[in-house]
Amino acid sequence: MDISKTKAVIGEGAHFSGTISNARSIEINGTVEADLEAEKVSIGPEGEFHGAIKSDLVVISGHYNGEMHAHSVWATETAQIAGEVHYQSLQMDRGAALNCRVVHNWTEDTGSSLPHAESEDEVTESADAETDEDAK
Amino acid sequence: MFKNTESNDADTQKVSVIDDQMRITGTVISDGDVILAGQLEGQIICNKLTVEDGAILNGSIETGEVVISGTVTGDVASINAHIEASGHFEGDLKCIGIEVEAGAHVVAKFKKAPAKIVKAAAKLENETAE
Repeated sequence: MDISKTKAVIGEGAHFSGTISNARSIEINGTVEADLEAEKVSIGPEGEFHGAIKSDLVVISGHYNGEMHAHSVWATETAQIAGEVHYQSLQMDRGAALNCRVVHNWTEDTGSSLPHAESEDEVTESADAETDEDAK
Repeated sequence: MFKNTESNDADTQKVSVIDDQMRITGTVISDGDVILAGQLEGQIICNKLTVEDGAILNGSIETGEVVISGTVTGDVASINAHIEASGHFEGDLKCIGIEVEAGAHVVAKFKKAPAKIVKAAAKLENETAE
């Protein structure tokens, strides 16, 4: 029962909708529609997440759709990502599918002295025209 | 949805855990088990629910089995409900089997279990008889 003190898990077959706050480490193997703030988020191969994430570390092996602000993002080979990813370090395994706006954020958290660097470092890997709408 | 809990023990993949720091508002629907150690406001529908000591739940519960060691305010519809000594419960209990340990704080209305629960209990009984 010690597991409950350290790690939150949304199990396979579980469906959650709403808001999640104050989470430390959360593992998602089910379906979640929520806005989430956590230290570490892990979306398993069977996991599905719709909504915003603010986190230090996000590991994605499943489906993600939404706006993500994360310090480190790791997309494994089974990852499928749509929406928007704001990151400071990004790792992408061979096979990972990114169909989204990918933004490197100098300004967020790092205290960097480059206030307008965001637009210059933007990489758009998507073929979708809609992902360009926010480009400055 | 409500299965025999013993057959489900090995199926750790289907267990959802809400840790003691976490706060959730919304709905959790699972065909597995849920362990709540944090705070939840909303609805839980699952196979077996464990509300741990220190956990707070405001809302409605629909389960096959519920074990309450924390604080629960709201409606419970379940085949079996077990309120432990450390448990606080306020609300409506619509259960077939109810067990309350000495020392538990219970302010409740006992009501007839809804048809859905009765049906699930009958189905479960048939399964175990076979």
